[in-house]
Amino acid sequence: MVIAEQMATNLRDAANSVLEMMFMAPVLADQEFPPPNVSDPILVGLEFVGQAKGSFTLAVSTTTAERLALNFMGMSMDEHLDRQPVIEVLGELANMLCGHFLGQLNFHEIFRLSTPCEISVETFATARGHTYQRTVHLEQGSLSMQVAVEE
Amino acid sequence: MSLRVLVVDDSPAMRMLLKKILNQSGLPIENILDASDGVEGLIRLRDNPINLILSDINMPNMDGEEFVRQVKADKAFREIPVLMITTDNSTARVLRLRQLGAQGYICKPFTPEMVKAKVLGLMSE
Repeated sequence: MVIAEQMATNLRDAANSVLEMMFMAPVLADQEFPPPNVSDPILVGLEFVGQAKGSFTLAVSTTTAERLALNFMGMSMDEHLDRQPVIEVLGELANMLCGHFLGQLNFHEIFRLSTPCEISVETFATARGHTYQRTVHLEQGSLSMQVAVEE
Repeated sequence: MSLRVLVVDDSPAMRMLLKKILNQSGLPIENILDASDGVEGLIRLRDNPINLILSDINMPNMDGEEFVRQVKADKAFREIPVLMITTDNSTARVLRLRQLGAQGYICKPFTPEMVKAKVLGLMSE
């Protein structure tokens, strides 16, 4: 299997595992980029360093982000969360997805992940190195992931 | 034995989730304190009687590895069991956690049942 296919498989597997177990959001389908065409995306990213170096980013609409955050916190869909706790939950989601993704690569060195934070569309679009992308579709909306591995 | 738990994690969302899981677990929880990094975790330990620690690994200021190293190097705290929370269950990571003296780990993603089982396992030892 070529590297791009393997990376796509790993991203999908990470999403399957993390989203179903901790966000009650099973993956219904997945596809290549481009990400869903939303006007109000929230982007959260982190960097990883170990046997390979790079960044992991996820992008979702504000509505999808809030639904996922409510599920994570065990709250009702009728309730409302402010933007900050939603960003914090998305950061945790990015951390888990990235950690799960890297764990599948069978590296012998331990990776260190930075604290996730909200990033701009420009940062997302100009990630350095080889990029691997996947969009998964959930009942709550679509979620796009991007891994950039530096040379 | 009543549990006086310290949860150390830089993610407020994860701290809230872990506290909720523990409080709803049916385990004999007396008190749950939290800290956002290892530095704050050590302060909580000095000021409060804790008998179980759950700690994240990747944190700013003082990460989970250094936090556990300092806990296990201190005579006053070294007997407190530590469960590490990690997204990485690679052999290298698990070996490192054992070397540091952590009694176990919980791999993210996890279910409430998995957290309860890990804590029960530690209590029975």
